[in-house]
Amino acid sequence: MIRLRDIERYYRNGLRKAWVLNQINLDIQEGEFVTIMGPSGAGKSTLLNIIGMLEEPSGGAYHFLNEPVHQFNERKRSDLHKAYMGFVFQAYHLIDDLTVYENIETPLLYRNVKSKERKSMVAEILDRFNIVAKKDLFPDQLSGGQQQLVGVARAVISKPRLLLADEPTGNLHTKQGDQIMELFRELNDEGVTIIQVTHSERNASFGTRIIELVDGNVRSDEQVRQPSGQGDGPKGMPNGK
Amino acid sequence: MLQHFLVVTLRNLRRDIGYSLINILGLGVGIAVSLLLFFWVRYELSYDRFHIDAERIYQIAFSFPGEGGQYTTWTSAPVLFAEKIDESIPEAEAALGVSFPRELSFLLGQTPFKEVGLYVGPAFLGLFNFPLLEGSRDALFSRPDDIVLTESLAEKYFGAGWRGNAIGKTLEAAEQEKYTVTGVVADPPPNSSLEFGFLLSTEEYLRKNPWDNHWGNFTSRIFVKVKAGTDIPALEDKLIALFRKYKDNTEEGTAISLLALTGRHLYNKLENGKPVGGRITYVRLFIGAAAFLLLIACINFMNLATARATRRSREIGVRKVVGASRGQLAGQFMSEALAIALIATGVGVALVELLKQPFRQITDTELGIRYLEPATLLLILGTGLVAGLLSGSYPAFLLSSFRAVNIFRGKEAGQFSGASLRKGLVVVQFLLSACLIVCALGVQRQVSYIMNKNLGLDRENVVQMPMNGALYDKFPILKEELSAIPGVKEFTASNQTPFMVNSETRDPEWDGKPANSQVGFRVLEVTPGFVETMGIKMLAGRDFDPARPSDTLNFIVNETAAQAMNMDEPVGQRLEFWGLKGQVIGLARDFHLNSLHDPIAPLILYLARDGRTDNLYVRTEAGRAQEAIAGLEALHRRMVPDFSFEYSFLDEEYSRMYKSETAIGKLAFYFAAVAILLSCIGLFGLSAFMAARRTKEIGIRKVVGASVANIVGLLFQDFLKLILIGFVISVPVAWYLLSTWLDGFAYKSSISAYLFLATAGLMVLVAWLAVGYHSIRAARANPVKALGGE
Repeated sequence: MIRLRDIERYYRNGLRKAWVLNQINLDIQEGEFVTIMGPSGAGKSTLLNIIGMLEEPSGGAYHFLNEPVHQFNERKRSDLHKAYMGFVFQAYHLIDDLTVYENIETPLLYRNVKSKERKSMVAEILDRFNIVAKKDLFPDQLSGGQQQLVGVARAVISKPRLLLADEPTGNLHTKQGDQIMELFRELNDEGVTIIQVTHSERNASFGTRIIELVDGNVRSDEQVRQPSGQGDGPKGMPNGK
Repeated sequence: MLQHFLVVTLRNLRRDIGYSLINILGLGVGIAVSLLLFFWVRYELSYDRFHIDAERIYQIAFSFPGEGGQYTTWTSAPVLFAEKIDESIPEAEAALGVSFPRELSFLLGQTPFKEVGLYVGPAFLGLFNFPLLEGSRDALFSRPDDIVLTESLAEKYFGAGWRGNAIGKTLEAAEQEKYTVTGVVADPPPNSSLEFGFLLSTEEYLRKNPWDNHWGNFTSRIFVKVKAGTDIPALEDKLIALFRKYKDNTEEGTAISLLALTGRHLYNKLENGKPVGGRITYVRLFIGAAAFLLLIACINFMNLATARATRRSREIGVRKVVGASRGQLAGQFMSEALAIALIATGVGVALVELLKQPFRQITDTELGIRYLEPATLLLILGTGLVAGLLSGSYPAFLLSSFRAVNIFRGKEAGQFSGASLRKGLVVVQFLLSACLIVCALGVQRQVSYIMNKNLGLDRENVVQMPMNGALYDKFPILKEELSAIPGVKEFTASNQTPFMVNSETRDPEWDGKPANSQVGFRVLEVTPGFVETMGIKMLAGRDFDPARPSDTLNFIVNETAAQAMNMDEPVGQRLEFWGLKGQVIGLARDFHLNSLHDPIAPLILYLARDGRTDNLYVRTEAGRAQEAIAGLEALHRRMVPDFSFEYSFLDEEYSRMYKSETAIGKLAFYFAAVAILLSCIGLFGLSAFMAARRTKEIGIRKVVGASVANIVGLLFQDFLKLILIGFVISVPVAWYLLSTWLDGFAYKSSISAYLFLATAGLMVLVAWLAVGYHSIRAARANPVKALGGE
């Protein structure tokens, strides 16, 4: 699904380059649940952002579902992002002015989903995440765990094939964190590919593969269990474009 | 999606209620003022366009060659000419004479009322579109005493039931004149430059003024309706050729120009026979001011929206991540701006309703606002739409360009993008405000210069009264009675107001006059004592002496006239014109015999024949004017009971001459006030955001020892720089604008440094008030709170 070749990212600091990512080579198959770990400043978030097409690498080649992302312009990348990806943040990043319902609905608006269909999709996900009772509340009326639930609901409402999560439990208690992780595993079992960045070994244990980054380099990359592999497409193969 | 935008907009408005109010009010005020000005402009442009085929109606103007290749242009013509054009020029569908407005005194029972009307050719109602309500158009002026009244005069003289009743009735006028009503027309609309209460025939005019049955008297206006597709310059040539046929001594080079009726109101300033401007200048000025003010209001919106971007950056980032395209985000911010502009337009219209009355009073014009008219709605919505688009475009462009990843990294978008543009916009705001303030102060200064100008004659404590009817003839025998009125100090008479002398002639002959001389002299008919009563200084010679009969052939000239005739010692020199052969007996010091727009012209004073002339001027003793007026009224009622008593004070007449300048001065003042108010509303909002953003910095500075004054100074300093930059740029612009306006005056106040210093001082002061509140609040806040949150 994802193929990174010699991906690098640096910032110019006067004449010197400050390297954040250095020659990253990585293949991620559809259906995997990958955890990226590493100390602060190792480049975890940058890597996640590059995969999520929020950020461009300074060099290297990035193929997503066999599409050469590194050759795309912003609009094309954003279309790809919109079509296949969902994002979960550490700080939830819900829109304060919107209710739970509206927050979850927002991605559908941008995908021009019809009103009726939107309603049923949001209702379904509210039900699934057990937050029907909260649908008319505003984010500041929810606990952190509940906010993150909404965050995940928003990320998956558009049925993404890849879910990216940047320290999704960083602001949560262990118990709330476990709840989110269970949810991730469930989603992964349903075939959603997940890449998460975390400091927590505990969270990592929910995944199938752990990649450790140090100073912008991949230090280790190990399979911790078999992907469940109930994906709707053949593993690692695009269903074509 | 639109619904979603709307929900977000409303929740945003509600959450930041202060911000919302600033935005809506600011934009509303901008829209209101622009709308008022646009309505005014639209009304001005509508003048005389209600006539059918208005663009085919022209007024004849004559241009006579004068000094230095310049032409003197008259918009008047001999009344006889109209008929000849009608008869012999095939391109003219119709031509007719229309007199200048004339007054008549009509009697309602025993009470006299002065009414203003026109003496017109028979085709008048066919050429102009004043609907005839009663009467038959072909039989309106079949006899000389036939009169056509407007609806309001018909009602005044024949009561509310005039319909079906007024026609055929007799209307009595002063001096036993009687007229028969043959028609009633609708009142001329206020955007008609032809105003009248009654219409009489040209025939009747010539019966009353037989001396005007003459090709040398340019006392009427002539309007021509040409056939469609007529070559105007060719017709002009044809007309002057026709004119020469009847007046063969017409000066070489004399030309006729056809002035479009629809341009007469706005292009009322003529040079060399061509319209060169006039009122249109004010129309342009007002459009400019409206655009300025709207722009300032929109800049407020942009500044606040981009400053607020800091707060909304997270929302923007999230939306991008969940799939919003740049266009969709821009659309969201655009529709927010449009929604706010729509609300502001509502506020604006409400303000227009509130302000239109004072505005009409100041400008002394109509606005003609009819909300249900499509054009009006279009103007209102158009202004709102432009304001919304203008306000929303930049924020939409800027905010949608934020990159999500930067936002989540904690680089606050608003901090780096848009900050310099925002500063630029503040500079532009204060530049425009400064221009308006300097101009407002400059115009006011000129108005006060005019009002305080020593004209060279004393206009205080003088009552002016027209010599109605028999009074004209009886004036010579009234002198003792006039002197006996308590409060009357001196009196005199002349045929024109002394600072509005318009009669002009090139006829004077004097020794040594060059053969090709084309000097025009203003001439004023006076009675003895004029010079003294008016307080005009004599430089040499003497005033007219009633004891010397030969003085009826003698003259007093002003300094400019003496120069024009090249006389070092004018007293005693021979001078002749209009059959008067005499000599100069006095040299008067120059006084302003015309508006201060024009330089003082050469002037010749001559004695009224038989001591009779048009206007009485009574100098009263200070503080006793009312007594004198009461005495004059009693005299008037006794002598000419069938005329209404009217008088005016000379100093008020003078102020009235500068009505439009005074109005411009007031308007400029209000525009400037609105501009600075709007700019400060913007600053107020901006300073709130700035103070909020720098909370941490302020906290740190306080912890390390800065005082409240230090902090406030620090915050204000940023704005001060912008204001001063705006001011500096405005100096040449304002200078140019003001000096262009002042160039219209031959006598003008200087553009002094004080104007600019006052403007700068005012702007700093007002800006300080706007910024001070938030600055002080931020500076006094407890630093622990600001820093504790980290």
